[in-house]
Amino acid sequence: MGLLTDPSSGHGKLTKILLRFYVPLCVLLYIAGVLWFAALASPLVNASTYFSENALLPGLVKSTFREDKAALQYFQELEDEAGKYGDSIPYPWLLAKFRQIGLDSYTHNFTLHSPLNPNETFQGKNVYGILRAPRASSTEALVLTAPYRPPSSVHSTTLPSIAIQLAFAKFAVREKYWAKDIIFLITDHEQLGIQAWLEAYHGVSCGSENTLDHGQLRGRAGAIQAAINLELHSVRIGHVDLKIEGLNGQLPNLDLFNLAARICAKEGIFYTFKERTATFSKSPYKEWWHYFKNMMSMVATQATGIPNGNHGLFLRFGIQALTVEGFQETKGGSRVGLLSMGRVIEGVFRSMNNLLERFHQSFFFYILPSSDRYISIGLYMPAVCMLGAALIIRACAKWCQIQENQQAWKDKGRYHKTSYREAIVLFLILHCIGALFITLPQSVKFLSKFWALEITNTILIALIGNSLAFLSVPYMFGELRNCPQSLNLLCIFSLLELGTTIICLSMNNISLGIICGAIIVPFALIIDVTSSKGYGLLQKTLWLLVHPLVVLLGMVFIITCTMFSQDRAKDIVFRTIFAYRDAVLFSIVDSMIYGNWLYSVIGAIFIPNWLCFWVVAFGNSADISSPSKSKKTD
Amino acid sequence: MYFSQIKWILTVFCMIIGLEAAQLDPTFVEKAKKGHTNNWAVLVDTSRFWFNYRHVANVLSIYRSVKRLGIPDSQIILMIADDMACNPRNPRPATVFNNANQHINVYGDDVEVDYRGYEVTVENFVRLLTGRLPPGTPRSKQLLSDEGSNVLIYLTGHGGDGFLKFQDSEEITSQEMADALEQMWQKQRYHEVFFMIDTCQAASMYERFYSPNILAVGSSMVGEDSLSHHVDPAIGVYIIDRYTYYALEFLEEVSPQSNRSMGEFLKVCPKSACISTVGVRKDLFLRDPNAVPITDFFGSVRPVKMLESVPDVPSIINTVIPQKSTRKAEKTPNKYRYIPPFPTFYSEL
Repeated sequence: MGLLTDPSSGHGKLTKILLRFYVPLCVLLYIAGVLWFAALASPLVNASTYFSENALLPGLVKSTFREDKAALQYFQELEDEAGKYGDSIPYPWLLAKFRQIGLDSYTHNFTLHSPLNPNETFQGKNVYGILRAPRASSTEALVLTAPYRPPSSVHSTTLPSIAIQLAFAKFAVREKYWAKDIIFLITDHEQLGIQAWLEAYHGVSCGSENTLDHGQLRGRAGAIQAAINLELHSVRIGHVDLKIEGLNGQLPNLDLFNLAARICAKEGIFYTFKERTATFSKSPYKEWWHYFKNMMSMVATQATGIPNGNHGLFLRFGIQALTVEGFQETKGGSRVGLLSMGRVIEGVFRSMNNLLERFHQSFFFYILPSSDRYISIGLYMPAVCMLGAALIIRACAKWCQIQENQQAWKDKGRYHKTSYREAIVLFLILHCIGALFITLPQSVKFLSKFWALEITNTILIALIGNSLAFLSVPYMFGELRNCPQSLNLLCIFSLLELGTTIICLSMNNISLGIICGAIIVPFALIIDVTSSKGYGLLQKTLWLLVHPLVVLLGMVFIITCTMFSQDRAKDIVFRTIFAYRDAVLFSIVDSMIYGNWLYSVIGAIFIPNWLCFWVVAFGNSADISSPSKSKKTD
Repeated sequence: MYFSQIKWILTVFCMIIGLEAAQLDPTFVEKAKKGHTNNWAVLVDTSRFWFNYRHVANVLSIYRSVKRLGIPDSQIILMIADDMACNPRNPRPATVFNNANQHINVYGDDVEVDYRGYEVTVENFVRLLTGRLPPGTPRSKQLLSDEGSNVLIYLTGHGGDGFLKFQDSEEITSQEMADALEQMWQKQRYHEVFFMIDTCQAASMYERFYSPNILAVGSSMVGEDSLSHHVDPAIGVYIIDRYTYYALEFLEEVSPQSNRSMGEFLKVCPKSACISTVGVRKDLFLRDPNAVPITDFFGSVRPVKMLESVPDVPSIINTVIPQKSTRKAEKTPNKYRYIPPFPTFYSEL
């Protein structure tokens, strides 16, 4: 038995097997990982949802909400008020209503200094009222929130949700069983308002400095345990959709989702997840396909890391939250009025009122293929780990190969010392370029003035320009190109980095992890230091395709094509370009205001990693190919 | 080698002698065969939190029954781990109901809770049973039973195979329970025990009992769950457990004079009603349960002592007719004294 440092120990049986079978093994792991993930959508593999938290006692109480008439009246009054106020929130009316109901009512002012243009500021005003729990200390709170949208908003109206919120407040203030305060919050400017309010409530700033001035709150309740965001588009609801994806792919506790689904079912409201209901089909394939589409729809939303409702910003603060979006009835479809909606709110809040601790029993990491089935982290992690393992095994094999070759060269008397130093320095230099990408938006402000361009265009141009410029990195390190040992080492580092990143990423945001893994892994596996010109060209071309900016362009293009399939090709191209610009811009702005880390991860890890492989792909092993295959003789 | 053998033999010898010494006083054994002279009840709810409302309702219902059948509050030790009546979630503040009809508020004005909240611990429970309470413990918190006492022990909460959870932090195992009862027997603290438990896997709690004169009943067998009976939609909780519900249904028909037997009581809640199987353990109990009146455990014997002569009860308060205020009265202040708490009967006998 050799020592751990004994170089001859690398020639064990295991090493030989690894070197012989690593190619099929990597391919197999990749395919198995992708298939595993796809198979998870099948009801044969995943499980039905259930309640873990005993304290919730979901739906045991008889609903007694009867304020639907009041809700309708609030709605009509609010419609009139909204017309008078133009783009701003009719806060005097809302404050008056809260006071009339008997809540502690407050307003909250916030200011946004545009992250890209410091001279530009936006003002906003939130209105909130606090219902104090009559027989408990104000140590815990629940939030019922609704975004206020002025009539000119591009999004569909949410006035009915504010009306039902007021009506529920009117009902709840008379009840004596509240053990937690209830905060009724009406926010301005979509997610900005809620972000500012949450930051002010907790006294923290999440984004970059001097971007969002969250202002001060004059009234506070206890620690917020859960929140429900209402977005009702009509007073007659055809169906409600439950939305859960939050900032950076964070999800609310599964118990909260189950609770909302259970109460909707109890009140006879047609509820969906991702606009789809559960189906039952005799053919297992059809059933799988249905669930798979649903699952991928969630994966697509979650991967972006952008919250699909105001609930998404609560999650960072450990507050479980979801959005209930109510859609107008369709012809011939079922419909319910505000009475049922009010009862859903009542049921959900009474259950949450029963909670003794924060939500902690059920899953925080899961994927939903439907509203009544879930895939837990234990089921999906193996899929991602297989993708990561393919890369790591490839790195191991490469390492063993280097050892083997060195041994062979040694035997032949041509000993090339592998230069760790060069590889490590190159690896670090390329990662410094990543830092450049992260700080790009800051420097762009200056460039924008210099070029006299619109800031939106400047960012895109600077980003693409930078990326193109750095394509020349392999030529900057000319002598390294002919040093296959160093490049092989660099390749090993990059493989290990990519594998670890994908697995780590999936721990936080499985959707992003699996998508990145599925796209990049096969390409990363074929990158090698080669002497063949044809293979070299092929791998360079393929590797260009998975540059993060190219992948984003491809995705934007596919989405545009599917959304505007009737348009002419020229229109689609223009739309794609604008959408692409906005996507890049928003991801930067999001990272500055909300602390979305998608842009940072891509800038700090994926682009440098991509460049590492890019350098490797330019490697030339012609002069010193592996001795076994070498045609040259000494 | 020899030495170790000798040592071993000596140990056995000592043990035999020790055992002999631990033999009970024959007079006590004799007394135990006769009937009981007093009744005690230890009623314990071990779980807290709003969603365990039913356990509090269970124990308060049993409390109500035993009190109605004649055990005085001074002989009932009531342990309740949480205050449901004052929970802010309770839509009916200051009440606890055991039925969705809300006919009976089992948390009325005359409920004396002896151990409440975080006082309900395994330690306090075992100390209570074995009489090892710290000096200065109030009488209301002591089980002052003797060799003539019939003790009803009722437990409810969340159980598992071989344990019963107390609060959310600790549990009592079936072996600890059995040892506590054995200690009670050795200390001559009971005549007979009726052990009644309504938890999941309840039967596991009395499996280890080895002391005589214990009749035990549990709401479910090992491996079974005990289920709740129904929900009160007005309060929004499960309001009572099945076994206790049917036991109460039976007890409500019983009056201090009725001659229903324990045998009948052991048959309540058949599997069709309970869903779980009610477990009974009779092997430690010397008498035939069918011949034991239910009031032996749920009712009370009031000891009556015949006095041969009418005792001279000293007048407690001197009837002083208040005189009209004069200067004299002001000068001589009234003499105050403590009134003896109870008239003494035995001073002359």
